[in-house]
Amino acid sequence: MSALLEVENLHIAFDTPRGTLQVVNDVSFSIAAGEIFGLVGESGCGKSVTCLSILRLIPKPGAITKGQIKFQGDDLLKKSNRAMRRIRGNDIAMIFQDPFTSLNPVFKVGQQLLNVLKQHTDLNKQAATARILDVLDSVGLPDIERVIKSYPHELSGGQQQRVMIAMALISEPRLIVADEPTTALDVTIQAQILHLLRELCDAHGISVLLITHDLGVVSEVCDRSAVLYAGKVVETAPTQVLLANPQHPYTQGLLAALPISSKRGTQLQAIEGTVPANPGSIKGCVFASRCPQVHERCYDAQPAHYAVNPEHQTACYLVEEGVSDA
Amino acid sequence: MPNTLIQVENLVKHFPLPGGWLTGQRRVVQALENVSIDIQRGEVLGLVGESGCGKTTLGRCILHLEQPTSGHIHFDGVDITALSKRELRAKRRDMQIVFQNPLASLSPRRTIKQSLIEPLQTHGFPQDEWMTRINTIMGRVGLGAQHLSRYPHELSGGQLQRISVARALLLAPQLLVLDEPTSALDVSIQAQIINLLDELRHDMGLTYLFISHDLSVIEHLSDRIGVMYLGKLVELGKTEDVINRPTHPYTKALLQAVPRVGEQGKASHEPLEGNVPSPINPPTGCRFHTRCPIAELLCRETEPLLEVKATDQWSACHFADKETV
Amino acid sequence: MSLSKLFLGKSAEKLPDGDFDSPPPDRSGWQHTLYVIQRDVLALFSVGWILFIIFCAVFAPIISPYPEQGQGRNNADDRLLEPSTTYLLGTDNLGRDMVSRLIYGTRPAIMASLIVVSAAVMIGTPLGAIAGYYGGWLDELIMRTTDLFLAFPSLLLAMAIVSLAGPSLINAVIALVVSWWPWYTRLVRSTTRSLREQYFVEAARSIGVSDAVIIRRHILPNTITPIIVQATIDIGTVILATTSLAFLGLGTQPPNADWGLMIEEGRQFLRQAWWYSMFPGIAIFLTVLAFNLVGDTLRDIFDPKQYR
Repeated sequence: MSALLEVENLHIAFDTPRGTLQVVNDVSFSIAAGEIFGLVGESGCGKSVTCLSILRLIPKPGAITKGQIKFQGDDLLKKSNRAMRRIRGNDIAMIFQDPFTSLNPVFKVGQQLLNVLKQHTDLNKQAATARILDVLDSVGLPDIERVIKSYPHELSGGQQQRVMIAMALISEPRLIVADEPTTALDVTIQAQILHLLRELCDAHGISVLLITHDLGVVSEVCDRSAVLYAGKVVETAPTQVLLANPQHPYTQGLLAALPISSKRGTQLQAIEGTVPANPGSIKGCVFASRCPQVHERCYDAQPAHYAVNPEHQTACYLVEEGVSDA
Repeated sequence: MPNTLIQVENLVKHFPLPGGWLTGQRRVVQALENVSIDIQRGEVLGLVGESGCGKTTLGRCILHLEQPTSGHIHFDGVDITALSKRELRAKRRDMQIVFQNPLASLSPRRTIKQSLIEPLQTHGFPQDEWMTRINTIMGRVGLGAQHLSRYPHELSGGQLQRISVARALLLAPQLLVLDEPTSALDVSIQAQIINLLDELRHDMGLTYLFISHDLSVIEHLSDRIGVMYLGKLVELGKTEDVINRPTHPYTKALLQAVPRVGEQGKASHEPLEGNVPSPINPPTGCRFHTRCPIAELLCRETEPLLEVKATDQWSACHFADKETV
Repeated sequence: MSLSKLFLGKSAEKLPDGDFDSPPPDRSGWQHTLYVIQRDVLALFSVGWILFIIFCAVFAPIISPYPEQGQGRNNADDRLLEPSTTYLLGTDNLGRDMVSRLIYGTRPAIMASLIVVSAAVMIGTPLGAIAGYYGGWLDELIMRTTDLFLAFPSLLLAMAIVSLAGPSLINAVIALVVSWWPWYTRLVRSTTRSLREQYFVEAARSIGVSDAVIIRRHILPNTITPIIVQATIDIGTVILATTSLAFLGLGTQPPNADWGLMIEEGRQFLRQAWWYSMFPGIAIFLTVLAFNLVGDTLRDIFDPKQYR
């Protein structure tokens, strides 16, 4: 399957009064058609900025300094602003974390959906309304007539998020970029939304780039995943492989830090230390300062991506040397 | 010394909503409806539930940060709902709280040192003891003297949460209420804080009321778990029982909905339907009946009471023994 | 520099956990202030001008070329002279040097505005804090009283006081204080209300800190920023008000120097001696502008500290 989205060697930096902060440092991954791809990492790892960069929505003072983002073969970074506007909401749609602040509070839901259609299609009022009803139905919203006439604050969190998904779906995108779409929702509602995303993906062949910090979510819905740390991809693999057989010490550390029932009563294994403040200035591996399996070489130069097998890559010298402690 | 530290009896908390002058009927948010629960000395009681279930309100009522609408709360045998303002202030030493957002719970224009002095100063500790106590407790939570002169915005989330815990412990309380203490922290830092809390609990003989929406964290730390839904306690029991042999359909749904590592494709299983009803206008009878997969007519008409369903396991359901699909 | 604050704060957002044990920021409070000021030409101008005005007010007798004329002594021989080398900005109707008059005119302007704003802050802040913190009937009482006072047009109030007590600068100041304190009550009340809900206030309550101490220790210090910004801009506005009242004859009385008074005096001579009304007018304009700009700059100085 040819890749729908290919991010290659992406570098994003923020120009602050205190110097340049390298937020994303040579990130590469690809998403095939019809798959749900998870981008996992903790706060500050650069995952939100990465997904904003796909739609070129990075706020100043940030800027993409190097790299390519190829969507269906075309480099998005070379496109004009006008061309990008045609793609946003149309071929690539985005869902944000907090639906309440992402929906315009002074417009009714129906009106907002209509606006999206007006922007990207030239359907007449009747066809547009039919399409709106259709898409609201497909996201599992009950009582559609009432929803269309409601303002965002009149809906619950779960319903708002479904409306956001509907807005994303309405122009039949090929790719949905979802930035922590369920983090602000209750657990049972989260389960509904994840279930919905999976269904839509299977039914319509839409790809989803799912950003999250929750490894459980990734396990549930993502086909493949990449782990991000301090602006670098440290491991990429099919999700179940990644979680069952992690090769990078950071991934291992994350999994060991999770409280799951088998460890009740014992101490959790926390990762020592903190994320470096300026990862761009580090010569060696970004994780070296916290790695329990670090050795001399790790401080000298950044490891490249080594393949454990064709589907599973990790940026760690241990794998290259075949002495991983997994 | 009797073993029950906190006894909550028929606690009701209604928040009035503005308006309603014309119709003469004031609308209320029924945050807590007839909740009775106990906390044993030395245990960790986990309180879990989704938004609007009342778990935070319950914690705040126990600390008397909210005045209950009706009901009683006994702390170590004393009815704290009947105390005067001054007596209550003295009792505050015995129960402290750690909030979810550590950055927001420290005064932004005061240094850490000043924030730590505050409890000691308020309760009349002799001034020459202050620094010794502060340094001891900072060491206990894994921080050093260099952090004392900083302002909250200069420190990280993990460090701030340790400071919040330190501040709570300065008064040597008996009960520590933890309101989502790890929700705003990254996984790796969360692990550090959980370890710290566990350690302190054993070292200092503390009792915890641990409120969270994160079942895995609750499961890890708690001795007993209480599940709340829309202002009512629907299940209460030992952790092992509640997690492995839940009796209430909501508990079962909650456990199923939690995304866990290693469980793939559960997303294909039908999740719990519907939304949480409004606490202003809760459903009649059993509050869960609108979403319950095994609900029957009885559920709509009569509210189930919290009853013993198994050894030390309580559940508020008419059909707790029925198998849910 | 925490990145997460560059994006809009969201409810479930995780706190960043960067390497915060780095040494404290390299710019101290004062250095940061200077940095912001020199970055912006307008800020530079406004701070410079204000310092100059204050300097004039303080050292008027020393720097005025003709101090007694500044204070009011007539010089009938040199009436309405054009600007020249002897009298740099000309003379007024009574032959007094314009430069000296303008310099002495800074005194009522600065004094009156400082008194009015300080009094308004001192009256309004405690009232606003009490109203905002306690709510309920106390809040209602205070806010309705505030609304009442806000409804008074300050000019009519000034005229009323003047008709009772006679026109003078002092009476004008009193009238303005009465009109001004409600604004600060409102400002402090709304700030207090939002602060009251913050976790750190809750934390203080849970520790057992009394209400009065909470207000003093936790709430008021956090209201200082908006108060200072507002007060600075208000100084400019009050200068406009006092000079307007003087213009109407309700404030500073002759022979004292006052910019508004000078504009009024110069009205009849607009054709022959344009400098008489023009220069005081320019002085008022520049001064009020400077205070407005400084208010904006102060916002910039205080805000970025949040993003350190």
